[in-house]
Amino acid sequence: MGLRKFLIIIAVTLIIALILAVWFFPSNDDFRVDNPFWNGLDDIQAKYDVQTINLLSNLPLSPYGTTLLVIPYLSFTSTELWQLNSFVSQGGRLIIADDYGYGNQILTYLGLQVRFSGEVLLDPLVNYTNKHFPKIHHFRPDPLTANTDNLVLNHATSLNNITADTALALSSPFSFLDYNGNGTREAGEPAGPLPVISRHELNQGQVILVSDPSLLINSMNIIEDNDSFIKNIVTTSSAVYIDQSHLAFSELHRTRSWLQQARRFLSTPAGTAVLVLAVIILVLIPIWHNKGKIDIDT
Amino acid sequence: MKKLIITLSILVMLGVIYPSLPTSAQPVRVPHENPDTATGLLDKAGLLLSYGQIINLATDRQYQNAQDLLNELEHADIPDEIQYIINRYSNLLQRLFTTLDNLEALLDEASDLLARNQIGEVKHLLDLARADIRDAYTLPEDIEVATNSLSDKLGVFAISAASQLTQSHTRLEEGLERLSNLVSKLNSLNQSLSERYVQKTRLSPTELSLSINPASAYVGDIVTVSGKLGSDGQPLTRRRIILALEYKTMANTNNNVMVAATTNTTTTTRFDGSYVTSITLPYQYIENMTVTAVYSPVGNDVDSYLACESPPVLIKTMFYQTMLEASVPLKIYVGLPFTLSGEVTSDNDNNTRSVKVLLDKTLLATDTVSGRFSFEIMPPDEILPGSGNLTIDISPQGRYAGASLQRGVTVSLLPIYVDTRMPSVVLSPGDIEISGGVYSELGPVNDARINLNLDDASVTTASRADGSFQGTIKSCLLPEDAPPTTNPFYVATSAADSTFDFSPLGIREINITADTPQSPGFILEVKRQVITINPVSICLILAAFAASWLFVRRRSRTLTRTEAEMTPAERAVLPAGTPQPVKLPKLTGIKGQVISTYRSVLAIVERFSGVIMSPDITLREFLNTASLPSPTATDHFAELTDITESTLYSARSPQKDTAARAKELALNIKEELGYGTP
Repeated sequence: MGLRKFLIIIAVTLIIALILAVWFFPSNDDFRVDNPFWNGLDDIQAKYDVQTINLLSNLPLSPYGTTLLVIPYLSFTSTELWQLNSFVSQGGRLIIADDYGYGNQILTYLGLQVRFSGEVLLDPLVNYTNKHFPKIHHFRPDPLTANTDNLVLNHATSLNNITADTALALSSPFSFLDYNGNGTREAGEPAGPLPVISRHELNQGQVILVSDPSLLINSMNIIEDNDSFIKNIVTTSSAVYIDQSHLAFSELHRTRSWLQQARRFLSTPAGTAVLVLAVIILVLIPIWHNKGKIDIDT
Repeated sequence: MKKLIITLSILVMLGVIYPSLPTSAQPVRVPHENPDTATGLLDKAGLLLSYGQIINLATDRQYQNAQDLLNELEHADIPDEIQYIINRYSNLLQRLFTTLDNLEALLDEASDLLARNQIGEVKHLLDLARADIRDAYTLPEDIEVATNSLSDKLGVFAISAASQLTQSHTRLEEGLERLSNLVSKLNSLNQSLSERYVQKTRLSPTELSLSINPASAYVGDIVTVSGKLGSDGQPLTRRRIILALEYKTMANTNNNVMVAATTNTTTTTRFDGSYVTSITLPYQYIENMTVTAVYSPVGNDVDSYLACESPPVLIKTMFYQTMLEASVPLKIYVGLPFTLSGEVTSDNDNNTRSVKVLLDKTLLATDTVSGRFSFEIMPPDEILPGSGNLTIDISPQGRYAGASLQRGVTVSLLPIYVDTRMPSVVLSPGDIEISGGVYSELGPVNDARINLNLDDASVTTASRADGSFQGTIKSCLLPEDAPPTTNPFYVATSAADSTFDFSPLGIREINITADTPQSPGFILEVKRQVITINPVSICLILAAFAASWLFVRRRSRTLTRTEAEMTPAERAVLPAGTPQPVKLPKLTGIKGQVISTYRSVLAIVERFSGVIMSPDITLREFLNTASLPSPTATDHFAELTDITESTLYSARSPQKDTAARAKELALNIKEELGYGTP
């Protein structure tokens, strides 16, 4: 076997192996419902009756009583913002779980004054393991916070422009926003209690803000009463939709999307025709190549 | 060959570098870390700073806030080895704050009473304050000791003065010093109030009487209040008397908590020290109210008379009770009306009364009723399914008290059922006709939205008045472009009327969802399976098989024909185990050109001589074995064999003209054998 042939066989084998690995290896992207690892939302989908949507246009036309959970790690187009506004206006409940993403883009469009601060919330004393895991135990009685004594956040932020009647959960008085990133509370840095969950009535619907989407991930929903909070979201809704179209994507997800697009193309009549044509050409190439020899024989 | 290696190398390098490029576009902040692997230590400086913050609140006299913050520390994640010290320290601070809070309250009350010349309780208050001051002096000393103990445990004294921990400790010490100063100030205040008390005991005492007529009355009625003010048997004229009417009332309309309320009426004594006035009883539906008359010296009287208060007098209040009975359904459906019936009666007469119906906090209906009532209520769409409380409220009206009745109800969405009809086997591409009906417990459902989904294909239709619906999914159309999304790698899945599966035969799932305006938010989902046969795919796959079969058949026929054209002698020359010719790799350079040229001629010679060159024979042995029809060709082939041997085995590198000569010989051989044109 020549070196050329060896390299080609190795390359082709490697490509096939990689394609299989990409296709079958589970997602490890943050907040993906098909991610069974610590940073995914696989548990929520397995435990509760929730539906994932990859396009906001797939939301129900009469959203009364339904809940849409958005983790905005990618920006929204004007069409998508309009769809969210329409969902809330018609009685839907929009939960924006964000820390450092594009939640404020939605809030601006909806005309709400409240904002995600985007600064790191630390709690040196009332925490789980370390100050990046603030423990929340101040709740306003509400169906969303029923049976919830403690919530643990993970690298969270806080909410700004919140009034007392809209805040549902507050961090401890020892918490603070670490503006300069030195991990220590200093003069000028806002101190707790800081709002981390809030509810806002908007037209016929509601907007719920959660200043940390990480409390939903597989490794966090088993800590303290985080699962109770998730359960309350589900039980107070007739249907729960989780938007997956505004999450950041890894190379694995990107490559898998390419493969899915390729597969989708091959499933179309044009793609199928191209595939069959390619197979026929590959089969006939040797015949074409040996045409001269056949001629001399004849 | 070089090109292939370079191309593969570039691809490998891109593969290594490219995945790391997108990290530059990721958010600066870390969205989360794995809690199972996270580690952490107690923030000692943060702990001392927090205690400093608590003590600062106390020195600002915000004792309740300071105590609340101390209670917060119970939730802190404190290591077991210092938990005991923290508990003791917090306990001492808690006791000090409680003492200071109580002390300030006593001193404030004493000061207020002294300002109003009401000295009856002042002495007792000041005695209590003195006891608290004693505690307040001893507790800071204990706290100082505990602070040193805690700081020692945290390692404050073992590190440099510039460290955050030491600075936090210094701030804590400063706070404790301010706390000691506060205790001294409160002690001074106590002494000052004691001196004022002694001065006030020298003022003249006063007496105030009170009577009410009638002793019982209906709510809303007027009662007459009278009495007399005097000092040492002498009437006090033109003095202001405050009549305080005290009663219990509801804290708010949503619960049954009663709170105390007071309504004040002011009057003035006449020339003989007497006073007469009237009070309107408020519409509070309780059994009794209390009136007290109060005299507080003002102006010059402050330096002459002490304040006084009459004994409280009870007024028995009367009103008509209202009775409410109602029949409430156990279950109500969103979007569907329900009937509420009942009866409102009262002690005296059946007047027209206002009624409100609420589901938790949502107002469902308001109406006026008299005696028996029955009306239909439509629950609004915004109420959520689940358990709730239905409240019927009859508002109070004059002498008639209000009434309220609460019942638990279950709020449900009206369940719907879908009956579907569709073929079990369908051709793809092609149309799939789906029909059926939508029903609820109340009969056929009109205008229900039906969504038919087959893979990416989606069709929406609506049910007719008889509940029936019909829809068609058209398969085998190219997908439409996905609507805009910010994720460029998102795979579109919403193309309407388009689906295609390459599978020639398969089982596919049709998903049918239905939702109705009567059940907002309730979506019924039904799944049905169909067998699909795809003739296009079957034909294409058959065509591929046919092409492969043609190729194999043609090749085998060619080989058979070549063997048939060989003479018996030629066949005999072939050794028994002659291996089949193999394809050799392409060669480069002068050496490669010569060998390549030899190979091209070798293939022709093998074909003409019928002898295949096996790996175990040399070039010269092959030259001797193979016989060609043309002597010239034989000579040229001998020379070419010689050149090739020299090129392969000579120690010297071949010259350029060697390759040219080899090519020339090859051309001559081909020309001689009639294979190709010169």
